[in-house]
Amino acid sequence: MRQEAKALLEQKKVDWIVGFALGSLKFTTTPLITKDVTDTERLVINPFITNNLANFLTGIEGRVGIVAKGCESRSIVSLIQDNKVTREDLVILAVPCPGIIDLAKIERLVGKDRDELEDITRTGDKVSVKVNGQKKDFAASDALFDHCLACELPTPQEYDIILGEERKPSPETKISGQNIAKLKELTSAERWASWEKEMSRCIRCYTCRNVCPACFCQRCFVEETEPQWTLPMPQWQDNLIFQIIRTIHVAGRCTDCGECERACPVNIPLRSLTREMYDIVDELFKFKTGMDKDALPLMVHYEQEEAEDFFK
Amino acid sequence: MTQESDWEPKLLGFLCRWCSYAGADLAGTSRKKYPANIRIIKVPCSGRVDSLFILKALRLGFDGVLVSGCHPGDCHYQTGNYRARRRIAITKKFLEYLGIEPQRLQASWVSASEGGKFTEVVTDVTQGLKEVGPNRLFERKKNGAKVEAGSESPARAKKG
Repeated sequence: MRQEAKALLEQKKVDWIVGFALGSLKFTTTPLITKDVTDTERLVINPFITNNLANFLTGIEGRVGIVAKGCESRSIVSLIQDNKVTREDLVILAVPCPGIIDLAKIERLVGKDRDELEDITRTGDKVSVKVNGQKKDFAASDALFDHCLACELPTPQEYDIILGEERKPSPETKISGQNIAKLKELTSAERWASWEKEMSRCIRCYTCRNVCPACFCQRCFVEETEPQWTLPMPQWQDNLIFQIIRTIHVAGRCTDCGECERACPVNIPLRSLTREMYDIVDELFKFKTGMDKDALPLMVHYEQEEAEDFFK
Repeated sequence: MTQESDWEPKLLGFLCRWCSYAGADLAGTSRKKYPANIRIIKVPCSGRVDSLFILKALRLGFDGVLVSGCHPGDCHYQTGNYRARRRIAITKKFLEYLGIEPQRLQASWVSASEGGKFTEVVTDVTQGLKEVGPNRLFERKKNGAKVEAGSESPARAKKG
């Protein structure tokens, strides 16, 4: 991959390379956006590349070579549908993704902080953690992110260069959708109460919005003051309205990449909102985000007859 | 706050300028009776109604929201109501999942000649709201006592 990226920069096929580099904290990675050929040596691909790099595309001018997992490629295609980026300006370096390891889950499994772990390796369906010189094995389904378990596109559909063998999708929704299933068993008043509880933790840092490649508005409705749609101070009613509207606004653009939930500093199960919307969109309009770059965006397209049962 | 017994639901209607608003007008001029629970906001097209408007209305304490526009195929702007339809369909389904009663968001197609249908729809929606009761979704619990939803906002403060 480093050679590919280096060649792209040297042959002036792209102005920028967007990829992953090792992070400052143990095991973590950080996005790397560079024009510098020597920087390509820092690029990595490992089981911890969590960020959705498509997020940066709307802020970069010029041609971009981007490292993309399946979910990123779907976000990129969605941005192309929305005319936010043009396909000709992109060189997509596809990474067939076996799923990303959730460090929080590992910490819970092992019962130790990530700094105390010596090594985490992934082989096939096993994730091995080395701690105090001892190796512990866990099933991949226990250690990967929920959204990775439900992944429908591990290998990008839209790419120029592929790095490695293509992977077939095997989406699993039982574990990854257990929070939603649990909520659906409750009565509507109980569901509302549970969201009240979750949202009272929100500190309105807007990290969920900032990491989201689908949230590309120049000016977000929460920052409007005339009219003021929601109060900017964190109180659960307005926090919840912010999340509801954000989820509705990204309907048809959300690829269930799970970044919002991962980035949330107070662990609000945001994916239980976005994934439900993803399923609603699929159920009502048979729309899967980012699968076809020539398709019209969800909210632009319509059929003569659909969803009529919602109308009197 | 009024007594529970003489509580009447407050319904906010977003009516499209070309069909439903004219339909409501027709209902009035032909002296048809419909519940006075509805407060009407005229919008250029049902496609103008963002989910934000709906949430904001519920936040301010309206018990329900009705969005009404031209029948499919009759939109003055060709496609506005089709887009409204998609948006309202996902919003309604999503709000239901969150725990908001489905009766609180209703939508209808009412043309300029359907004064009768307009009265029916409003009667129907108001009836539905009476069944689900007052909107307590965004109520703040202060020292155990319940505070009326949205009472801290200027719009409601004026009413005093």
